[in-house]
Amino acid sequence: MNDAVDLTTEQLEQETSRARDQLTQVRREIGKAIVGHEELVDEILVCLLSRGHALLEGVPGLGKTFLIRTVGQVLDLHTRRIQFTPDLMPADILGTNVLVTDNHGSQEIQFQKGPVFSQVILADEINRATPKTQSALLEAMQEQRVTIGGITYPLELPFMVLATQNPIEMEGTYPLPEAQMDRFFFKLRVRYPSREEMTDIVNRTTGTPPPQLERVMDAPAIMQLQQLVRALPVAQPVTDYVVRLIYATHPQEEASPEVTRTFVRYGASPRGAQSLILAGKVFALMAGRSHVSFEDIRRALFPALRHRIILNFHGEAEGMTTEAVVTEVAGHVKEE
Amino acid sequence: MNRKKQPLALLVTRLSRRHRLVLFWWNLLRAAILTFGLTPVFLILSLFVALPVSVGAILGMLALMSFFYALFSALFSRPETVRLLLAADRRYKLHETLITAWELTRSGKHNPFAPVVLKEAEQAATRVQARTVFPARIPAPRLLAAAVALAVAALIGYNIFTATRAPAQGGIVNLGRNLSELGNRLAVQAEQHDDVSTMELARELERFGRQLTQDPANLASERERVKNLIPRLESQIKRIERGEAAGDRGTDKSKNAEEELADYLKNRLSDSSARRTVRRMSEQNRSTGEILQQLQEGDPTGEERPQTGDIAPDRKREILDGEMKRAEDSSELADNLERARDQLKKLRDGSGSDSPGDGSSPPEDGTPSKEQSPRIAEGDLGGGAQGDSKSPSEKTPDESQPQTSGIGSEPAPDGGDTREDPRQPEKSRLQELPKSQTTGDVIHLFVRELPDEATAALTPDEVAQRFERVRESAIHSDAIPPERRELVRNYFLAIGTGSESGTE
Repeated sequence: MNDAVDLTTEQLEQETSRARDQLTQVRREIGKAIVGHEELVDEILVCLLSRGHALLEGVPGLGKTFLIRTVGQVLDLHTRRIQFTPDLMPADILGTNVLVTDNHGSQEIQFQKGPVFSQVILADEINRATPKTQSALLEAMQEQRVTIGGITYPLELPFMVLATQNPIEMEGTYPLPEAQMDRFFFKLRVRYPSREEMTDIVNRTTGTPPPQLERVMDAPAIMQLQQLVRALPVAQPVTDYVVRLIYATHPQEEASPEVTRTFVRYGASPRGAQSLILAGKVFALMAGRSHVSFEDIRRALFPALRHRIILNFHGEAEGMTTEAVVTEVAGHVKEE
Repeated sequence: MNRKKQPLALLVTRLSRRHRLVLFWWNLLRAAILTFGLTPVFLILSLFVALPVSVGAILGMLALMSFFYALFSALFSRPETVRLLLAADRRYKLHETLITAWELTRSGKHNPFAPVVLKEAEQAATRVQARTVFPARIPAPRLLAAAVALAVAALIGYNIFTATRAPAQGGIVNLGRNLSELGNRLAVQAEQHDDVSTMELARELERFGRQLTQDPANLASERERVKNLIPRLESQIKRIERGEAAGDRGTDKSKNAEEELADYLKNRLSDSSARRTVRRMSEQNRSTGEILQQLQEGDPTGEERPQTGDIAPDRKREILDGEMKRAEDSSELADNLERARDQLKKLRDGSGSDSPGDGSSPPEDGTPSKEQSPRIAEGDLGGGAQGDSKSPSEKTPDESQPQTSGIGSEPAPDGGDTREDPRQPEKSRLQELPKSQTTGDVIHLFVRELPDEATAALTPDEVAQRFERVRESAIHSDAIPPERRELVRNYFLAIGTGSESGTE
C-alpha cells in the first residue's frame, strides 16, 4: 500500500472505509474468544495503531494473558510472554552474546535474541522485576530498538508491549517510577466481568474447545493503518481543547479546577496531549471518520491521563483517585 | 470543487441563517433592555435628584446610542465563523466536520484527508439544505425591521429627553416651594423665640425658594448661594438643637426681665421714667443680640464660619457671664428704682424731712463742697442705679461706708435707725439747708454732711449726673402730687451738684 500522503481522495476514502471494516472485524473476531471487555479491546487496538504501549492493571485471573494472545493471533503478530520476577535480568529480556561453534569448529560470538524481539510482548507483573530490568524493557519500548555490545538491533514492527501489574499485591514489588509510567500510551483497567459475562466465560472455557480464530489483519496492514492514523486531520479547536485539558491537570494553573489545585502534585506531561490526539484519531478511524471530534478526545481521557496525574499526599490521604480528577477536569474544561 | 470556496459555501447553510436570526432577535432584545431599562432609572433619579437638563440629555443620548449599537449588531455584524461552525457541528452532531474542513482550508497545509473531510462537510451541509446567509443586500424584511426599529428608537429618545427634562424642572419648582414654605415656618418660630439669626436665615431661605419657584431654570446661577446657605442652615440647626442660641436665649431672659420691670415701673413710677428704663434695656438687649448674631454667623472679619458653627467656649462663657451680669444689673436697677420710689413717697407724704424727729438731725456745718470731698462715694440715692453691682457683703469696708449723705436717711437725731440695711451709711451730722436757697413754703431741710474721710468710687461729676437723672425721674413720677413737685425740685436744687450750687 502506498503512503497515505500519496493517495487520492477516492483511495483515501476507500482506505478509511476499509480500515473501519477491518477494525470492526478484528473486534468481532476477538470477541469470539474474549467475553466482554469490548472497551478494553478497543483501547488495546488504539495503542497498537498509535504505536504505543499499554499497562494493564487488574487482579489475576481476569484473562489478561489470554486477551493478549488472542489479539496477537487475530492480528497475526508474534507474541511472547515474559514473567517478570525479582531475579530477572535485562539480558533475559533483551538477549545476550553467546559463543557459538559452527560445524567447522570455528567459534564466533553470536547475539541470542531475547523475548523482546517479538511484536507483542506480555510483560506479566512488570513491577516484580528490579528497576534495572524494567528500564531495559522500557528503553526498548521507547526506542523500538535494542543496543547490546555496541550493536543496535531494531525490533520487529509493529512492536507493542502490554505490561500488567497486580494492584493488590504490592509487597516485594518495584513500582514503576513516574517517568517510566509516562512511557505507556494507555493505562487500562481490567475490570471484573459481570454476572452474564462470567456465565458466558464459564460456558466457553469448560465445554468444547473455543472456536478457531481467523487472522483478520497482518503486520503490514497494521503499519499502514498506523500511517493512516497519523494523517488524520485535527481541527485547531480540538487541539486547543486537548491542550486546555492537559493544562487543567496542573495545580499551578489558574484555570485548573479546585480538585486539581488541591489534590494533584504533578499534572499530565506533553505525552498526555500526544496520546489524546493520537487516540482520538484512532477512535475517529474506528468510527469511520476522517477527522477527530471532541467525542473521540473524551473517549481517550481516562486511559491516557489516569497514570500521568500524580496525586499529592493530601490526595492520597483523602483517597482521591486520578480518575476522579480526570472527571473533574473534563467537566471543567469546555469545548469552546 | 475549489477548496478555498467550499468552506464558505458550507457557511451558507440554513442552520447558519437560524443562528444569525437568533443573534438578530437577541440583539433587538438587548437593545430593548438597555433602552427601556435605563429610562425608569432616569425617572427615579429625577425624582430624588434635580438632574440638570444637560445631564438628562446625555443619559438619554447614551440610551439611544446603545440602542443603535445593538441595532447595528443585529443587522450587520457577522458571528465569528469558528463559533458558528462549532455551534453547527454541535447542533447537528456532525462530529466537528465543518470546523475541520474550515481549518483544513484556512491552514493551507496539504493534508491527504482534506478532500475527504470537505466532501463529508459538504454532504453534511447538503443534508441541512444550505442556503445563502450572507447576501449582498439586506433583505426587505430586515430593512422593514430596521425602519421600525429606527422609528421606535426616535420615539424612545424623544420620550427620554422630555421625561428627563420635565421631572428635573418639576423637582426644582417643588424644591423652591418647599424651601419657601419652610422658610416661612422657620421665620415664625424664630420670631416667637426672638432668634434673630435664625429669623434672618429663614427669610433668606424663603426668598431663595420663591426665586426657584418663579424661575427654576436659573438654578445654575444660584449654586454659590445654595453652597453658602447649606452650611449656615446646618450650623443654625445644630446650634438650636444644642440649645446654644445663647444670644437669643439671653435676649429672652432679658426681655422677660425687661417686661416685668416695665410693668412694675408703669404701675409705680412715672411713664417717662419707665419708658426711659425700658428703652435703655432694650438697647442693651439689642446690642447683645447683635453681638451674638455676629458671633454665630461668622467672624467680624468676614471669614467663613467653620462647619461646626459653634462659638468658642471661652467666648460663649464670656457672653453668658455678661448676660447674667446684665440681668443682675437689671434686677439691681429695679431695686434701686424701688428704693427711689420709696424715697419719693416719703417726700410726697412729707414724712421724710418735714419733721426733724424722723431721724434727720439739723446740720451743723455748711453744704458739702468739692474741695472738701474730691471724690464722693455713692450713696443710697442713685448710686446703685448704675453704679457698682457688688452686694454689700462683697464691698470692702471702705466701700461699705458711704461718705455722702443720703436723701431721707432715716436715722433719727437720737440715733434710732429702724432699717437693718447693711449698707446703712455711717451716721453723720445733719446740716440744715439755708433758707435762701429754697423757694415756696418754708420747710426745714436737713442733709448729712460729708464725713471726714472717705474713698470714693465715682467722681463728683458722675454722681452729679446720676443725681440729675434720678431727680428728674422722681419729680415727674406719679407718686409726687403736682402741687408738691416744685417743692421737691427746690429740694433737689438745694442739695444739687456743685455746678448747680455754683451757679445759684
